[in-house]
Amino acid sequence: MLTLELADLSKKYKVDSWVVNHVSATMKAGLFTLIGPNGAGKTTLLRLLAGIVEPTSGKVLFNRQDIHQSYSQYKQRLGYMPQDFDFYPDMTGREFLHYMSRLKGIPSSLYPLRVEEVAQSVGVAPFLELKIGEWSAGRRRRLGIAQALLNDPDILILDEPMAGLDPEEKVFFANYFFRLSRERMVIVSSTILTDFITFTDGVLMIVKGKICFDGRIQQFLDLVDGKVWVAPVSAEKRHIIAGIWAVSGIENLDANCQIRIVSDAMPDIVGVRAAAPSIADAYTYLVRQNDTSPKE
Amino acid sequence: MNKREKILGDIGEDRIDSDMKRIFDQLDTYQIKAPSMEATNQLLENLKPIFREETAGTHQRRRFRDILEDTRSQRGIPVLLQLVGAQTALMSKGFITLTMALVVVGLLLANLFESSSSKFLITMSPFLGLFTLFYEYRARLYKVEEMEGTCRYSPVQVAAARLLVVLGYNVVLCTAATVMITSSFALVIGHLMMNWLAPLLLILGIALFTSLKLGIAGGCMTAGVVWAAQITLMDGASFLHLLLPGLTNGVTDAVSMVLGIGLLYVTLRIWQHSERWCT
Repeated sequence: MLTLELADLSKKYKVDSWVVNHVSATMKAGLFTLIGPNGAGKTTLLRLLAGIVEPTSGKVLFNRQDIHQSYSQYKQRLGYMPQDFDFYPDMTGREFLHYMSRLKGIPSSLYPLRVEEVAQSVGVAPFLELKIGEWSAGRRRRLGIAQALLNDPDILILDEPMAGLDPEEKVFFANYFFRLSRERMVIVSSTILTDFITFTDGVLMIVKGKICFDGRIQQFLDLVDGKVWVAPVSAEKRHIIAGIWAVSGIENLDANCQIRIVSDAMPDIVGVRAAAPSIADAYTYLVRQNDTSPKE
Repeated sequence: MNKREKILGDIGEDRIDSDMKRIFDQLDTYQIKAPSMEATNQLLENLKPIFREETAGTHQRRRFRDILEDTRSQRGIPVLLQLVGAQTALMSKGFITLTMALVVVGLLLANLFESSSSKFLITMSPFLGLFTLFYEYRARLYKVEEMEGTCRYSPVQVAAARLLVVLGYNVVLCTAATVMITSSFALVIGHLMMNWLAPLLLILGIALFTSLKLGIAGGCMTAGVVWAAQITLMDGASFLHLLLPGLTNGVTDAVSMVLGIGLLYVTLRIWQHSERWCT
């Protein structure tokens, strides 16, 4: 069975700036979503998992073995798509995938067919003969996902794979990642909370470099069960309310608006009532709880 | 949380409007019995072909990984040669055409106006080398480096393969140019080739070594400035004459080559100690 363990993992770039701060978690085969606000440390954590950067302290253990002790073996079972990437613009899609296949050590007897198969599965096959410089952002992201899949990895790490994709593409890839995760470990980061709600096996939430939630989606929702409130307020008052309570959503209703508040106690607002929790509520609650504590 | 609230939560709603209430009330009127064992078995029978299809797909995908593992256990082409093959793919037809055109046009113009094609070749070869070096190592510029970094090979293996491609391409191109401008084969080997090969190696060494600190663009720029300063200020002689006066040109070329190879070697050694692409 595949296991990836983060054992007291830390990374700092400057002397007193911990980007990832003593993180511990264990992941098995399935789809895992890493969420958190911008600058929380998601990308650094994924780069640590991919072995692109070395930890300041702690270890990443794949099947109980430190990935840095046998990094070349680990890389053979890894597929990785960074958050910020591009391509050689003068190459065609096919040339790039052939090039990456060779870098992944796939022999020439196998990679032409494999490239075709992967390109078909992510929907870029019709564009393979075009120079990548002419590709749209969405197609480039699909190509980024394709290169990560070439070696049929056991661990697939994708940093913000949904960025730049249209809603239809997002649904396609949410389903696709779910299918892939039935036989491997798929770890994706996302700032868009609705992307993986139905599909994810585990949620990891990171705030200020620390894991503040590690569990299943229902447990995530249960965190705010009985703590979500909705209240009708005037448009002018919503800013005042946002300064007092943790606001997880605002819906405009003609002149007024309906505001969602996450709070342990019922807010003292006229017309307030309880509401069923959503992912955004739980997310707001955890960010509010963890973002106020000083960074170590 | 009651049943209605749970359903609302599942469908992303937070309040029951009149339509929703009607639907809930209607649903409450249906009384469905728990399915019998027979019905459950029938359902499982119906689902089996679908599961079989899924499983078949799984086996097919796994087989690719297995085949890949099998090929890895076989002895094949040495890693460096495999990588050189891959890195050659980075040199586009456009780049090759452009560099060849530059050499040919440059030689023709030099011959036409100055009648000194060999001087042009000696001056141009390090610039050509830097241009090729920059082009071959442009991965960071195009943000491909991280994707390449998680592939099978280590950074030093990739860097060494790229260096071989750069050197190989420049040596072939400059040798071809040398043959074009000389009639004596002995002269080609003994004198002119040495004249462009020595500065080419030294300048590539300086570029790669300084790129450790300045990045590939900064490294190429620094080496380019060094070479431009030498040909401008030293009137064709090497800076090494300032440090070691009295040396013949042949010895200076040999020292340049040794220095260049030394710098390339040190750079690769430093890369070897850094197994990662980023810090």
